[in-house]
This record gives sequence, C-alpha cells and structure tokens, in this order.
Amino acid sequence: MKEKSKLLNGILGIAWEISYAAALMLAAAAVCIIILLIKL
Amino acid sequence: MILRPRTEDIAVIGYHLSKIILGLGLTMLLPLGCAALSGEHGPFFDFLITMEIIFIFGLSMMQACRGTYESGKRKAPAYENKISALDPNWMHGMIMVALSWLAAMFFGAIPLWLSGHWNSFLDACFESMSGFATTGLSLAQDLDHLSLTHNLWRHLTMFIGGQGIVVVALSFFVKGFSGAFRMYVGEARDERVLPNVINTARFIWIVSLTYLALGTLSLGITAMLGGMGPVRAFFHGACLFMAAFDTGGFTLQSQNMLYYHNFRLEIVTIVFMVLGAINFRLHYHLWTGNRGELFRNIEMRVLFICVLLTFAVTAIGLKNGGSPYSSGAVMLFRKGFYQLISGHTGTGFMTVYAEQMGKEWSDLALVGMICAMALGGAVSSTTGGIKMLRIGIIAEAFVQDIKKVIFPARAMVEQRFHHIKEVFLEDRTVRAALMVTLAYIILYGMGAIAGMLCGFGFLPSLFESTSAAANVGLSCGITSSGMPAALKMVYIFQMWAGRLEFISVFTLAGFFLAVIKGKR
Amino acid sequence: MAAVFVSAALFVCAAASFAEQAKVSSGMLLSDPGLYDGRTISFEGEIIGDIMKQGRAAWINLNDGRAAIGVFTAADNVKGLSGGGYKKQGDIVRVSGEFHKACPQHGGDLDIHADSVTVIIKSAVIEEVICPVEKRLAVFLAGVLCLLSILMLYKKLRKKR
Repeated sequence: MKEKSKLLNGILGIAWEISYAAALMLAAAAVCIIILLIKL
Repeated sequence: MILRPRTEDIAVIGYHLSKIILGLGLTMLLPLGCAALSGEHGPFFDFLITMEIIFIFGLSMMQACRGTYESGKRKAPAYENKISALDPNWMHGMIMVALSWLAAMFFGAIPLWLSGHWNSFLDACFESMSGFATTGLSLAQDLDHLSLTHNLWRHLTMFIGGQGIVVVALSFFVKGFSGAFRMYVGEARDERVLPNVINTARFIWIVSLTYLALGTLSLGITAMLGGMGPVRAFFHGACLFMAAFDTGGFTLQSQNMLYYHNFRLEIVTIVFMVLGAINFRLHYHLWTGNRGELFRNIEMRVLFICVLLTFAVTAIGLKNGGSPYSSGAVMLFRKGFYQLISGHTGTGFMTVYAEQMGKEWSDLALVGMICAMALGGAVSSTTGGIKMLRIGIIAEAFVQDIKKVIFPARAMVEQRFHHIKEVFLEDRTVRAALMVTLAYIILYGMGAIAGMLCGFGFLPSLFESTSAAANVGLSCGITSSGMPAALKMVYIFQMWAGRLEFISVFTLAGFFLAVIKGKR
Repeated sequence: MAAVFVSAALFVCAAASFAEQAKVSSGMLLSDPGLYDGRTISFEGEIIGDIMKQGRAAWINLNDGRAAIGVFTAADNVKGLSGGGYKKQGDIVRVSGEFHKACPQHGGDLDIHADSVTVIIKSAVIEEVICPVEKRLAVFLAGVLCLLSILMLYKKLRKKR
C-alpha cells in the first residue's frame, strides 16, 4: 500500500512539474500576442 | 602566516582524485560498447586507448598516494582515527573537486582529439570542458560526419557533468568514500536533498534516470512523427534528453535544433529544459507528496517572473529592431521564446544560426538574452548563472531596505521567504547571495573584456562571455575554431569557474599559493 | 547579322537566368540572408543525416562544407536518396527553389523550398582508416596496464604475508 502511494506521489510530482513548464509556455505565448498587438 | 600543506594533504587529495579519475574511466565503457555494437572501429580504438591511459594514470596515482595516506592514518592518534583525521576535510574536498573537473576535461578530450574532428588538443579540451560544465559551446569540425560513439561521449559528458562528477564517482565507489559531502558542496550542490549525501546522490540518479526513460520515449516518438526512422529517432531522443535535462546544449548535428524543423520536438525539449532548471531538492519534495511547494517556493516564482520579464524585453527588442520573427506570434514564440528559455535555463539549444543572432538581433533583444543567461535557473539544478534563490533573496532584501527608508518609524518584522520551509532573511544570507552574484558579474565582465581585446564588439563579447560563464552555450558567432587561443582558454576558465561557483576554484588557488609561499 | 542577333539573345537569356537563379553557398546565405530572401536560388550540398518525410513533403539538410541548410521539398523529389554520416557520404544534390530568411510557413526557419532536386554525386561508403600507430599504441598500453596490475597485486599479496 505504501509502495503504491509512493509511486502515485512520484507520478503526480512529475505531472505537476510538467504543468509548470506548460504554464510557462502559455504565459510566454500570451506575452507574444500582447507585444505584437500593442504599439510601442 | 600561510601554512604550507603537508605531504599527507597532497596524498589525501591525490588518493581520492585517483578514484574519481578511475570512475571516469569506467564511464567510457558505454561509448566503447556503442562502438563495438555499431561497428565503428576507429572510435573503438580511440576510447580503448583513452581508457588504458586513464587506468594506468589513475592506478599509478592511487598507488603513489596510498602509501602516504595509509601511513598517515596509522600515525594519527587512536582517537583521531575515529573522527577520521586523515579523511578529507573542507579544503581537501574543494581542491579535489576543482582538480577532478580539470582532470575530466583533460582525459575526456583525448578520445575527441583522436577522432580528428577537432583542430587541436586545446579545441578538444574546450569541447570536453564545455560538455562536463554543461555549457554547449562547440568547436567540433564536420559534426555531421562524427561517429555515433564520439557523439554519445559528448552527450555523456553533459549527463555526467550535470549530475556532478563527484556524484557519479560516489556511485562507483560508495564504500570508503569519506568526506563525500564536502566534495558534493564543492560541486556547487550545497542543498541537502536528503540528510545523507549518498542518499542524495541516489535520489538525483532516480530523478535523472526516470526522466531519461520518459525523455527518450517522448522525444523519440516526436522525432519519429517528424519523419525520422525509429532507431535513429530514439538515439537522437536519448541524446537530446541528456542535452536538454542537463541543460547542456550539444546536439548530434551541426545545425543544432534547427536540423529537425519540428515544432513539436521544440516544445518537448522546452519541457525538459525547464525540468532541468528545477532544484533537485524541489524534485524530491514534489515527488514525495509536498506538491504545494511548487507554488510557494521562492525559486519557482522568481523563475516564472524572470523568464517572462526577460522574454518581454527580448520580444520588444525583436519587434522594434524590425526582425522578421515579429511578423507573427508563432514565429516570435519559436524563434524568440525558444532561444530565450534555452538561454535562461542555461541549455543552449538554438533554432537560429549563431551568425543570425549576432548580426540580425537588435541590441535590446541581445540585452534581454544576456540578462536571461546571466540569471540562470534554480540552485542545485543542472543550470548555471547567478541562480534564482540568490535573485529572490536579493530582491526581498532590496524591497525590505526600501521599506525601511520609506517607513522609518514602522517597526519591521523579521523578513522571511519560503524555500521548502520558512527561512529568515538574515544579513549573512543576503551577503552570501550578493558576494556570489558579484563574482558572476565580474566573471561575465572579465570575459567581455577578453573578447573585446580580441577585436570583437561589446555586446557580442558580453553575450559570449555570459554564455560561457553561466554555462549556457548560445553563441552569437564568436566561438569558432579560428578564435584566438587565449580567448579559448579564457572561456574554458569561465566555464570551469562558473560551474563550480567559485569557492572550490578559490580554494585551489589558495592551496597553490600555500605550496609556494607557505612556511612550516 | 543573324549570328550577332542569336548570340545577343543567348547572352540576354543567360544573364536573365543568372539573375533569376543565383548559385549560392551557405556562406553567402548566412552572411547576407536579406539579399537572397524571397529569391529563387540554386544550392549544392551533401544530404546529411535523415530524410524526414512528413506525408507528401520532406525535409532534408544539405551541407556544403561550411554549414548545413534545411531544404523543404516534395517527398517524391527525395525518393531513393540517403543522408551521410560516419563512414558514409550522402547523396550530393543540387536544389533549386525559393530561399527564406525566416520562412512564415515554418515558424521562421531559414530554409529553401526546393522545386527540384538533382543528384550530382551518388552516395558512397567512406572507408574507415585506422592508423596502425593507434593499434600498436593500444596493444602497448594494454601491456603496460597488465604489468601495473600484476605489480599492484603482488604488492598487496606481499603485504598480506
């Protein structure tokens, strides 16, 4: 049971980390769009 | 008064250094096996000869030092034996690390030089140090015709250097490797991931190997979807993973990431670059249930903000500079953001040619890139640069000091920041962060001056210098086999000092000073 | 009179085609991409690495000795071709098509959209040349290593006694 929860925690940890990277990319994409739209 | 080191000190250093060198020799079994499997006979002999040289040198050194080391241990009083009097202390540990990186550079260069794809042994040393320091600047000639074996070795150096040479050596010689923690710290891994350094090293391996499997699979499949054959796709996948997660930046082909013309592949590499920029201690907490740490942690917050800020500057620079990349959001992302995240995480993958970056990117865009490279990723990750924890500490201290000026009458509560746990913002913490930051800035500046002395312009020189010292690997065109030998040596020094975060380098310098000027 | 007219016409045609399809090197493309952006050029180089087929299109990378440039073309154009690597020289081809400094179709990549791909030199195996000195050195060092190991073992055994 303990082993199962260890594995689950590991998998969720990996998922969390990949989500961080994904969020960063989405935010960057938003920056791209904003910078191209506004006039500087 | 400087005390001259005793013979026993040299013996301790030499004995443990020889073990590290032998461990390095054992890692060459992988490329040797690759050469045997793929029928590359020339590379087989290159690595065989290098391994023989390493074992002869390592065993001789171990033999030479063992006598003094063990007799010294016997001479020490009985009670001292218990507290390991002749086991490595801080000085020994730091020096061992500094020297082992130089030894790795030297021995790692031999097979590269034997391949004939590097114009001189200095070029091969540059490549070797670039690999171990997970930089990624390359002086390879005709990379597109380099053997799989030599290419595998180039990528392995990044994997080994990213984990830490000491960590790798610990894995081979777990028993009888005392003083391990001091050496571990010397490799700029001052975060205790787990209470015991052996367990820390093991955990780092677990994370790296798990992601190696995931990375090879995902990158391999993505490459296959892009039209590559399965065997080559997975070989490329494994190598790209090592270069991305260990934020190294070598690739198997001369066009770097532009070779693949594959947007999906670029995205997957971004994921692994970001993963490689995360503190190993944070990996441990996230993988063992403490997932809220991802949002609370100061480094993760600072990284998010810094990436977006530096990208905004770079994007504005590209737009105002009239770059064609600003004609669409996708282009701005694939060329602007890709180079930026590659620089900020200290990887060095490029989807533009170095010459394009040097000639077509506007000054503002280059400044954004330089700032990103200079800042780096988290501490105790595979990245380089000043690092996010220090930036966070300095920023918090700065805000606090400004508040003191604006609201002098208000009683200030002890400032804290969250890094795994609540940490007090003490003066000595801030001072330590500022000192290392200053050291990096001086190193970046030194390299920039060296570049300018060789005739290059200010921004390109600063760019290349920062790329070397922060172990990034992006190039704006300066790095080439034709550059002056002195500049090559400056960049080698910068890669070495930047990777070890100065302390072990200073300790080594102090040691040599003591040998020359010390009195007994 | 007719001869003068014909040669003048030929000259004009040659000049026109020259202006239309400049033969360039990677050095020229990378040092001044703006000059060739959007123009039809002719580029020669060795196919390196993989031929990446994506449906009806394919990517190849041509290396002319100084740098490699990406070429996007129809999959039919690269049928039967192969790329070079270690111990192999890939097909050396001449491509002709539009050059892009920052291709809008391919996310800003510097590339050539080739209409035609012509093989100049067929691919070939490159013989591995292993220096005999290297082989002898390997054997010699192996000998030294054996000697050293025997010495160390002997010392260890003597100590035990």
